[in-house]
Amino acid sequence: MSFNPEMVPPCTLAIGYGLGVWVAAALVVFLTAERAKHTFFSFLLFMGSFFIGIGAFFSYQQKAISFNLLPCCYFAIAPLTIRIDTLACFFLTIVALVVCALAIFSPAYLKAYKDRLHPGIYWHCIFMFMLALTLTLLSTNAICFLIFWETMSLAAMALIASDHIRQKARHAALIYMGITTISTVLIFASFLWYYRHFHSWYFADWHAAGSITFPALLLFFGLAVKAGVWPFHIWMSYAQAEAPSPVTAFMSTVMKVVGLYTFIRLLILDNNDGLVLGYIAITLGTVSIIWGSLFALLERDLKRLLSYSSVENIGIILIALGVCLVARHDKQIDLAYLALVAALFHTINHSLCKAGLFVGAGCIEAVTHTRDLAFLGGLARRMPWTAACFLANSLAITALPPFNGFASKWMVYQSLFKLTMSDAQVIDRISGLSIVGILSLVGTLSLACYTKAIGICFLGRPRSEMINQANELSHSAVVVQIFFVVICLAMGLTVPYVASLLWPACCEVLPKVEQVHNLFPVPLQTVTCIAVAITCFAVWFLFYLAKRPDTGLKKYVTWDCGYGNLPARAEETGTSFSESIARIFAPILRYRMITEIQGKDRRHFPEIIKFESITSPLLEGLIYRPSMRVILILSRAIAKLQTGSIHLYLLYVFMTLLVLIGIGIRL
Amino acid sequence: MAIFEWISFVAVVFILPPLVLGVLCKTKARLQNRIGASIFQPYFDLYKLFSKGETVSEVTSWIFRNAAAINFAVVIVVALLVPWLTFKPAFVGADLILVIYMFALTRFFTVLAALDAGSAFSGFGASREVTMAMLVEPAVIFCFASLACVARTSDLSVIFSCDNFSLSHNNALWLMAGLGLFLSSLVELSRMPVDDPTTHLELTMVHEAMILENSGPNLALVLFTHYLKMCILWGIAAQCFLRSISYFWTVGPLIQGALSLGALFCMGVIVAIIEGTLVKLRWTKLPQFIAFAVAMGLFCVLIAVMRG
Repeated sequence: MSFNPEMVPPCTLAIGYGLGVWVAAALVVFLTAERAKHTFFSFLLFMGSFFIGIGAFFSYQQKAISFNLLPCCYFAIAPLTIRIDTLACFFLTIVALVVCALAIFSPAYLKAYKDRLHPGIYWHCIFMFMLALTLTLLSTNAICFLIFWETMSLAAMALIASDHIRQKARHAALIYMGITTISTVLIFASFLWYYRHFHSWYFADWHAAGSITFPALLLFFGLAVKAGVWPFHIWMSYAQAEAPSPVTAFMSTVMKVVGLYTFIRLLILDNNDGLVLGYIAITLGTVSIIWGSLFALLERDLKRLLSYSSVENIGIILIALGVCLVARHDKQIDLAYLALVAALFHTINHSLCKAGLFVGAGCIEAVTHTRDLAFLGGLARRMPWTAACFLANSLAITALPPFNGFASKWMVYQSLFKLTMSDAQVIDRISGLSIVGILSLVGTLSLACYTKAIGICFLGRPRSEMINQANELSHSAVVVQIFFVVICLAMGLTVPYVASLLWPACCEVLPKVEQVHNLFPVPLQTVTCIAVAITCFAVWFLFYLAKRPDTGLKKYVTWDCGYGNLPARAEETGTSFSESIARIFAPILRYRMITEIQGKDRRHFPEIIKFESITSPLLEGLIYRPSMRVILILSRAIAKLQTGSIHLYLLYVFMTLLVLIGIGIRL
Repeated sequence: MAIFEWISFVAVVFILPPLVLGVLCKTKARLQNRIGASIFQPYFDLYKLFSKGETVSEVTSWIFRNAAAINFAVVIVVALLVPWLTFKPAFVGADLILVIYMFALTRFFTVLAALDAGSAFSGFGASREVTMAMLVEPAVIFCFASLACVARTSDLSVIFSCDNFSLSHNNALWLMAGLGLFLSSLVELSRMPVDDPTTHLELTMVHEAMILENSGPNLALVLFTHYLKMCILWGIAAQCFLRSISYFWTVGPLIQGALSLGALFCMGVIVAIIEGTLVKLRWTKLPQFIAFAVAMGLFCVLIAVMRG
């Protein structure tokens, strides 16, 4: 089927226009190179994603269309065919929404780092990344998918290294390169296996003839590596911290979305047993949420904190997907739908509020030139809008009402409850309830983590000089953050509507059943929140407005125990805030504290007090470093074979010849 | 009937919380051979604070002053949601996850308000608060979730409805849930084995340390919110205990209402006895205490799953 504009409805064409804008932009960057203007290319990025978003939103729920994008392109064994269906449109809409907003934010941030980033390369990679990402979502066959997937990864690698003058950024890019290769190898292997089993490269054919579990496992692990599921999350904290903030936001939201899309597209279908994969997903998800939230709590670097929190959220999504798989295996289609809607909903919510948080973190980074919590503080008065938006986005991501995060987490809880109440095996039911407990523990951990981030960054007294010169980065950055908050809040207050919108996307992969309309009890959140808002206003009115402010609102120093105005160093720091939790989880965090007191009479008149808290990531020390060492030793051994000496090579040739002659005589 | 319910409920919400505290303090004083203040003392304290001026640290931002109002509003609405007394006007369904996350919302703002003034002491308090919350949250949710599993709904007002006889023969489950919730409430409210509410040593306090900077009407608001939260948590534990007694299911709504009020005061007296006889645990020993609450929750889970 070739491309024929008359066949395609106008809204779907818009997606094509969007892609066209990006292709054109990529070419223009190529020509302008050094002189590339951030504002201009941000505008092109915005326009492209705007068209794609509009197209995808209006094509949602329409009949799927597939066509050859470029008939001349024939990747050796399969044509470049794209397919626009409900599920792809759903994910495209999220991607476009996030990219639109981030495009507005980018110029302000990039201008602050103009001497460190090469604009031409940066924008070229961004457009390559976005094009490849979009086409990955639209690919119909394995070959296209792999090509675009690889392009996307390479572009992402280049973007991580955009500030390559710093050694840390190069290191992060290298780690990312390694991890993405592993991911691709696993996915490649699984696709080959699928091809052998189903005799087709097309995804659509991959669920008819029987179920095979092993390639599904390979694919699962390939995607898990890429999505940053425990124990493969290591790369995230490096790559996401070192990349420029807009890139970090892209990677932690839209790139994850692609991974999840592939999971839902290929693994929820009945081409595997469901039970094995479901259990693995639930287990890894559970470990991920604990691990991610614990390490996020301990982190001092704001961007690393956010990236660990992504590990936690991926874990929640994975748990929901696991429940969906188990439910499908047990033939409880209603539960499978609920869990899948929860996973999709949480994906949107996480993308939106995490993007908002990364924008906030980017603003702080660009203004204060540090991400270390130990040097921040008191920013709420210098950057009131960023502070308020960061607070609101944190409420959303810690799943507190009235934001959307609560609704999706409610659905995850609810699907676990349903699993417990179902006729599943006792072990399933007990583990369902236990995960409810773990989720609540993790919920409080992430609450601790975000209160720490806000409290240390924005509240209290400034811990360094540069805070006093800080101001909002730009109007555009503020607008983008407000945009994210408004969307999160609006989605939180209209949950039943949003949940009903998600249903058709689930129908793509699950057996069709009649739509359940009360996925989320209608008045639950909205009414409660309105009640809270009214009461809050009444109280506020009674207590603060009715009492005239001049009757004794006195400003004074913070209570300092009679020591006189204490410096900011006496405040609670991020490290001390998380210390008591870190102690409890010391074995996992490998948390140690070393206190050294010196002086003549140490106890009462110490002269020097030295205090050091050390955490070392368990996995890196225990698994990754040793395995790296083994690989290095092995490669050194192999390298001995290839020393570059022509004599040795001649010997090899001679030996091979002898062996071949020997075999020949034998035969 | 509905109007009567609303009036009685609003009256209870505003009158009961300080009274329960008053009874608690009085009992505690008598246990220590003191005459003690009148049981109405908390009202006088609140009135005094409300009519005072307010001193605010110059470091604080908008969060500090508004957190108290937000928390107050949230807890009032939670009081309307949670069936902590048998008589309660009908409101939208009280989903248990919603209730738990509403409490989390108050915690979020309390912690932020504590960090806002940049004081070392309130920072300690905040850090301890989140630690204890993290440990105790699974216990709370296990107790509620196992009740929800047996009742096959996550709506607390259905689970705790007196007409819901599907739960009437689960005495052990109710007892365990009640114990679990009661033990966790001691942690959540920073009461005795966890924190001594009467000391004023900044280094050891939890809740008191967090609200160190609040004063005047703001402090009155914070304190009232705390009292109300206390009533809700003890009330819901008392409801569980009452339901573990078969007699409770057979009596009419009026007696049930009276019983639940009486049980609430009983909880106050029990806490007073605990506070009069126990000493505060060391901070490092706390996880072991909380483990009891979590164990109760796990028992609930086992009972619920085996039964269902």
